[in-house]
Formats: sequence, C-alpha cells, structure tokens
Amino acid sequence: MQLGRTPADVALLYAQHASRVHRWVLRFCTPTDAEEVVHEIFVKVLERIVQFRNHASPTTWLYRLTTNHCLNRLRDTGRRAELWQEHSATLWSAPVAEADQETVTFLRQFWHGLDDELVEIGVFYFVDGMTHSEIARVVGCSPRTVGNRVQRLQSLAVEAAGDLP
Amino acid sequence: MNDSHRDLLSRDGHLTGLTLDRYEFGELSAEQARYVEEHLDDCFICRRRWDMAREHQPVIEPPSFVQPSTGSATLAGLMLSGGVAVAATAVLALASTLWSGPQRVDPRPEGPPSAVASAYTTSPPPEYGTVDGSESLDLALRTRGIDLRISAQGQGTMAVVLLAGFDPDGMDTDGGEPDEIVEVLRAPVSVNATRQLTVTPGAESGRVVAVMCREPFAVAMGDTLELADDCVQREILASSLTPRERDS
Repeated sequence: MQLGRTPADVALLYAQHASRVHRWVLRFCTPTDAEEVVHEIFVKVLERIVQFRNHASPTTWLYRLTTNHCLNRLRDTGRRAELWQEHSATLWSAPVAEADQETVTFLRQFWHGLDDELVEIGVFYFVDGMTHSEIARVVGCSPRTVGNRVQRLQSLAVEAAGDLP
Repeated sequence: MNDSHRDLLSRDGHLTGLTLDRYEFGELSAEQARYVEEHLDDCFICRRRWDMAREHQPVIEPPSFVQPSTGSATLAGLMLSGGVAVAATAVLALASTLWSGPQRVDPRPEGPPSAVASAYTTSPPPEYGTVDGSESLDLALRTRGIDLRISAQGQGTMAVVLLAGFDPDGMDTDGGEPDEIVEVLRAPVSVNATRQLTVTPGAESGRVVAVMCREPFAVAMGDTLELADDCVQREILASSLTPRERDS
C-alpha cells in the first residue's frame, strides 16, 4: 500500500487500522486512556506520513509507531511513577516461553533507564516474542544488530542482578 | 518450514500478534497466508488469539463535527464507514492545517443513501489501478463450519455485508428491499494483491455478499447495494451457506 501525504490517506489508514491500534494500545494503557492514546497516535501519523511513503507494510509501520508512542508515554517523567506501578508488571510478564526470567526482572526494574532503542527491541523480543529477523524487519536494522542489542540487554540484566542485594 | 514462514512465528512457535495483524490486513504473500491459515486450523492457542483480535471492535464515539460540502465531510464519512470513530476532530483539523495544498477529495455525490462503490473519490494510491485498468479483481468464498472465509485478489477495497432476505424465485422473504444492507459484517478494507477475511454471519436468512471494487467505497446499514461496473461480487445464502456466485 502506498500512500501520499493527504488527509484522505490518513483517513483511510484511520478507517482501516484504528481498532487495531486501539487493541495494541491496550497492552500499555488502561481502557480509559486508550481512545485518547489512539488519537495521539494518529496525530503522529499525520506528522510522519511522509516517512510512511513507500513503506511496504502499513501495519508494521503503525505497530512500531504505536509501541514507541506508548513506551514514551510510559516514560514520561510526570506520569512515570504512577504508570510504572500500574503497568510495569504486566508489560514485562507476557508469557513468552523463552524469555529469560532474570532479564525480565531486570527490565521490570530498570527498563526506564535504558535507551529507547534497547527498550523497543526488548519489548519486541521479550514481550512479543519476535525473532531477530522479524524485529529487524520492523525496526529497519540487521538481524545481527538485533542480536547484539538482545545480548546487551541480557548482559545488563546479569550485571544488574549481580548488583542486587 | 522455510525462512519466510519462520519469520511469522514467535520464539515459542506460535504466530506473532503482528503476523496475525498483517495476515488480516492482507500484507502477507499468498504462500505466507496459506501457512498462517494452516497454522490457525491446527493451533488452538493461535486460533483463540485470532478470534479475540477479531472480536475487538471498540465502540468509540464518532467525531461530532462534519463540515458539509468540504473535503473533511467526505473524510469523516469515510472514517465512519470503516466502523471506527475515535475522536477525530483534531486529526482532521491538523490535516487541513498541515496540508493546505490541493486535495483531490470530491464531495459525496448527491442522491439517496446508497453504497455506490464510487461514492468516495478520494485520490487512490497509484497501485489501486493499472494504467490500462485491466488488472482483474477476484473474490473466492469458502465455508468452514459457521465461518465464511473470503479470499480477495487484486488491488482495491473489499467489504462483506448481509443483505435482506431474498427468494431466488423473485419473492422478497422478509419485506425488505432485496439489496438492502441489514448488517455490515466487515467494513471496507483495502486489498493489496491478496487478502483473506473471515466472517461469522450468524444469520438465518438473507445473503452474505462480499464485494470488491477498485475504488474506496462505503457501506452502511439501510443502504442499497449498488455497485460500479468494475466491482466484483460473490454471495451465498446465509441460511444454507451454499455458494452461488454472481459477477457484476
């Protein structure tokens, strides 16, 4: 699907994806906030629709945009403590079979101190259970880079676990 | 399982949520889509995730504004036709602010409400039609239990509706107009090459009709289904789920 940069294109995206985006948002937000967050995301779509041009998969583009927006929202300093208490356990406890528990524990406690890219990849890997190659496709880097980031996350987890009393 | 299939799965061997969403939106290759369908047939967990995702149809207030005879009015109608209505006021307001250049959005044609396929003439993406317009659209229906699976090929927009009961001998069986839309089973969605949809009509009478057109279109309950010449339509009786096809 190739879109231009007109409101009609955004309206089309909205008509086709808003309910899907709403479902993705619910992974991070309460149902009360979800509609507002969907709205915020489509404002970002308007701002960034040029980046979407020629993108092969609107679903993937929106999925990444949604994930990052929700993560940034959770990282917002004004709301972090409240939302952290509210959502952090859920965020990092999705039943992905091979998720390393030590890493999950680390992420629960320290994820907001990581850089954005690591957190994004951490969500895709540990929460969504994606493979390196799928994450690479979503993020737009090489599978090797994804592997390196995951390794770094795991190393940080081990270090952090060692520092824990 | 080849590499393209492996990328569809999470590390625990199930389809990822993104895979299911891409499948629903028709972004997978035909081979990948077949693999997903086979996996869904065999995997209870993924099937349940798939069903739950499909059931998520949030009821969201429609935008309160509509500016008559402007492009925005058409856009609002287009949004509503998609069955989604998150507050969009700011979105559209921003749209007109950010992009003040020419917009190829024509007002909706006058006349009685209808599901005229070409009612919305928003400028389609380039791939909606080939230069000579000869690229064919195709729809295929397949029943699976109480589900109806629709496979679409081509580039355009498809929707699935339930029409009022209709006796093949010519007698309308429920008092409604034969082509009156009594339920929108799936709001218009775009098709880019291939797309599969599954609906569960659950109706005892009427006709389940899948429609695919090159141009975006709208459908709404109470409208009459009128199709442009280049649209394709497939239908089955809701009661019997016996396929009978009709090209328009």
